[in-house]
Amino acid sequence: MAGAVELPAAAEALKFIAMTPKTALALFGIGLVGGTLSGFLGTGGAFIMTPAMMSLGIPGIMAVAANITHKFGKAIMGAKKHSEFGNVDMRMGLVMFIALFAGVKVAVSMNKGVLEKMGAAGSNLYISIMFIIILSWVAIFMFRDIMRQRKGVVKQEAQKGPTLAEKIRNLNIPPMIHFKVAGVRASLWLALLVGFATGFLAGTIGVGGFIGVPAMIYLLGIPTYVAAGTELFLAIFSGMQGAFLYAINGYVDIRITLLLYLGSLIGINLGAIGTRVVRGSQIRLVMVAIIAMVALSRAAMVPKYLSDMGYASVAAGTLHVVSFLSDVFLFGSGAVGVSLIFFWMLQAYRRAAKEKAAGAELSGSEVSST
Amino acid sequence: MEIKQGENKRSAMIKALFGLLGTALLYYIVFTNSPTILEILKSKTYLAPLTSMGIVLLASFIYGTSVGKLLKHTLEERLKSQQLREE
Repeated sequence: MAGAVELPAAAEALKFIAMTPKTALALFGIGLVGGTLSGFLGTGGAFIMTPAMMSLGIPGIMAVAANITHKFGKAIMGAKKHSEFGNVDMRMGLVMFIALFAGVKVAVSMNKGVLEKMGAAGSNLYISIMFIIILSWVAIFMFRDIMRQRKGVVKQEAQKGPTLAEKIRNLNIPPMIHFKVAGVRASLWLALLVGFATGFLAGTIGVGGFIGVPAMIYLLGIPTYVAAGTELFLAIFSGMQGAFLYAINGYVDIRITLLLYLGSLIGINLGAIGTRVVRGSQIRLVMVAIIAMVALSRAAMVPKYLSDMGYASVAAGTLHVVSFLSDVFLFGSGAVGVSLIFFWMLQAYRRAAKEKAAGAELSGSEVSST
Repeated sequence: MEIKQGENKRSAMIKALFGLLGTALLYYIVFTNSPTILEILKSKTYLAPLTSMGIVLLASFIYGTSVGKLLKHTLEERLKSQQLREE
């Protein structure tokens, strides 16, 4: 999530876990997966890392605290790495952060209102429905775009006229700002709107980058890798605020955070290097796969929330099945995403090795002929 | 030029090694003193965020820089010929 942080009203009793070698190894693995996704997409670690830590027996609020504290340092190093590659537009990041902060505030107020009126089950249902609608729409839109690009339909359609996203992008409402690194000139109001939408989603469902990155790509016309880098730059601010708030309330277990770092700082470098050797459409494909699976994970839980609210009668066995399915989709999305990234990187590595071997062979034959 | 690149790589690797040793030392200090540190973190005073954020910044900088240097001169260098910038 690239938004500002609001602490939950009701906090559970603090219980620091016993750190066994098995738990430490699991935290390393969780960090590696989260870090790789963040480095590659600019987003996508938190939604898997927090539930994964909870499944290890870490209390929810401490899992969130460890995650956000770890995100602070991870975002600094990730943004530094992306910055080396020229992937971070700081001007864009700072403009978006102002609007993003406002978006989070509005979303948190709305979430609180829903919680007060409809209770915990109603709030869960509201958040899940928002997840399903927004993420499904983004996934379908991005998937269609990738398919169109692959089939070469884009050039034909460009002759027919601009799409809705292009029409929005071409709105020249002053003041216009030139974002040098991204190489685009966009309306300040449009950048603020994207920031606000990102913040609103971050405050509502906790993963703002899922809309922030696609919005930067399609509405502002930013290259995919710059969107990923800029999103990480934004995450520094929200990570800092969250790390401070959770620490002053006594929820941070530094041992968990440090063990997450062991994996995530390797992952974030691998992910950032990955953005250099794959196409923008491949980065978007990973994002679509993850977004669609996370939406499915939330959709699987709808019968449970309806049952909790008394709107539907669902057998206990069925509830177990839907919870299990939800976990399969959630953790599966991370596994699919990271597998695709590593597979493409391995392909690039093999190609590089072949080229090197061919180059060595060629120079060897030149030497022997002379 | 080749020699200079070799030197750069060697010095980067030495720095990365020192960084990893520093990281190991930091982790050793934190984990052997974890009861005291966790008490500070539970104190709900300004000392708690100062401690946690200080450790986080130190760990992420030392370890992150070391890992970054290691990967830059190994995997990243190896994949240099495969770089794409099609957008």
